[in-house]
Amino acid sequence: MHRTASGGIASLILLFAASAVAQPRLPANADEVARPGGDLPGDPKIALVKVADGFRDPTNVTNAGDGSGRIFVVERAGRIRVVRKDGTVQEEPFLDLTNFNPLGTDVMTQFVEQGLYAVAFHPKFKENGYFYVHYASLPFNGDGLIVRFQVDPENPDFLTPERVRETAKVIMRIPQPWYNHNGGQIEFGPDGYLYIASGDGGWEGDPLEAGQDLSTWLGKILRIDVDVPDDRIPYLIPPDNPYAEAGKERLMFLFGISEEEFARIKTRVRPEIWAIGLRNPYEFAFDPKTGDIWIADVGQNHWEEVNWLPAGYTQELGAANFGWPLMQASKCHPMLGDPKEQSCPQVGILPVAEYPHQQPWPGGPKLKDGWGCSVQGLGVANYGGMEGVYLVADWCTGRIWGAGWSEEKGGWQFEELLRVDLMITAGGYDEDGYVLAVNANNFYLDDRGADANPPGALWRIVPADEVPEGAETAPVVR
Amino acid sequence: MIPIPLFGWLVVLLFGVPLAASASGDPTPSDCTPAIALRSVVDDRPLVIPEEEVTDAVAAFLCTGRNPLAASEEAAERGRELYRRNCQICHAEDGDGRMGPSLIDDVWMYDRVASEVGRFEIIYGGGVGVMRAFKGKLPAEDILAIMAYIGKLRERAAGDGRE
Ligand code: HEC
Repeated sequence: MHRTASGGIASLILLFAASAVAQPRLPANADEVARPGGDLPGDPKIALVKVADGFRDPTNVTNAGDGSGRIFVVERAGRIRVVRKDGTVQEEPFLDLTNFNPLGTDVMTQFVEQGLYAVAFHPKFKENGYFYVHYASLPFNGDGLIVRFQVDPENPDFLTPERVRETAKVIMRIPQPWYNHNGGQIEFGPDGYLYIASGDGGWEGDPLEAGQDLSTWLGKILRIDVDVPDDRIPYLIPPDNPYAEAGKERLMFLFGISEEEFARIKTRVRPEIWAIGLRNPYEFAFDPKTGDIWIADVGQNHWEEVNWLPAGYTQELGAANFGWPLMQASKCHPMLGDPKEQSCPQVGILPVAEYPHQQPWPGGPKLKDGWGCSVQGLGVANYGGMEGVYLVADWCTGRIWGAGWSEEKGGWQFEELLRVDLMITAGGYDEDGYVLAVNANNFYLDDRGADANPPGALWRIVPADEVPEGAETAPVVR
Repeated sequence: MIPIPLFGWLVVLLFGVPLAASASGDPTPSDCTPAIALRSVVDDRPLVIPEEEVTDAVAAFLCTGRNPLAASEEAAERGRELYRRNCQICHAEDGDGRMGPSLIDDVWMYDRVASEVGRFEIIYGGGVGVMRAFKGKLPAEDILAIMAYIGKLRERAAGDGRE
């Protein structure tokens, strides 16, 4: 009897272990990081169907979650355009940051990476009319401003310049040392807090070492609570932010205190920090079904990185650390040669997927396929055979990959789903949970100005067998 | 408004009859029919050079499929400066690639690009993504000059044993 009982427990434990193994989990080592050539469950086939076009340098897209069916396309120059439920584009921009300041535009667009980056609608937008933008401010010499505005309930599709001025509440100003790697997505999480993706501030190689520096907002994902009891306060620190309490003034005691307790004291830390070690997390997204967060971190010379954390992720000490600038994807940074011959300590959390540039390391082979140069996160697809698949597009080569977990293979998969002849800059969701993408037509050397480049378009990513009759689809590369 | 799809660049310009004598009456090779029909490497659409860009060198190229400027030091020198301004940011100073692929090895993204015609086609008509068409930005003969310079970079790489 005794024996049977313990046997039963043992098999229970085994069962538990088996099911635990099948769950998505963070890679323990570089071998568990997915690379191109993977095989997603459900054999997904996708197509990009054009929703609307004529947008000037679109940099982002989202919905308001208010049941209106509207899609909001962010234009780099500083405008937000409304695509109505019927697919027509409203003539007047929803928001225009180019004409509320009597001196002219409020948005810096001189460098192609600068401009209006993103808009996020308050989870209770329908009741309170609040939405938030992140842009490179011209008066503040390119610093990132996070500003709240409020729509007029009488006029929910359009803010007049007066309304823009009257309702503006500056939440945060992120000082920017250089004109690249500034941007970022902003988005409300399932916890109701505002998440802000903040690049390392620019140049290359992270000369500030911002990624690992807890005293700067740069190179991080920040998380703030914008639901303040009094608008004289810009925002609050969520009490469970990893460093919410670490920097507060306190009495000093030396003895009878554990090392763990000492490790919780970080006197220079910024309490807004939620995750660290990021280079240029231009886009991130929450899985609408699970609340997991996915971050597309644009890489430097050799590797692009796709990060994932399960919903509600916490760790014993400190913040999730994605390694930059000590690591780039699962490799050492700086890369000196063949990664097999270079070793460095593994810092923090590995990405779940990564893909190379044409040359995966200095002096390495030149790839014909499966490479790119700049990862743009679109959104998580839970349709068309895909479950929790994060779609990313490579800006340089038009490849669209899906990153997802395969229970069958017990690991992460990264599969090229389509290659399109578009320079995709960002993505988002419509109210039905379909992933959207926008493409722009500009480049560093080929920027005629945020309002003068050839216009881009808005696309919906649908299962290939659900393309509506007569719909225009994105040009596919053989 | 009609949207400009990305390869709006590749729209066929019907007036470009490559081998017709140019308006200025420049002599053109007459012993080369049919001329090479250029195509986009991405989608095979015809790629036509507007008449005013069809210089002698371009006409000769369209006859033979060989870059007539390949051996010209002067063209390579001109190509160097054009390359520096238009290509180096993605393909690197030595042509070994960075954001874009290497131009000095023999790994080509499209089989056609292994030939000079294919290389002209991808530069003039564009590839995918950030490799945008230079048609409309650089005249066809400038592309030949850049190709002459890329030839130098390839020779240099071969000399270094890097190819
Ligand atoms: C913005 C970055 C960028 C610039 C600028 C650029 N290229 Fe490219 N180039 C690329 C990319 C990316 C590809 C791969 C395109 C593809 O796969 O369709 C490419 C492909 C090529 C190829 C084909 C290489 C192969 O292996 O098949 C050639 C040749 C080429 N480029 C030449 C040039 C020249 C010459 C210029 C300047 C006149 C130039 N490129 C400017 C990014 C660039």
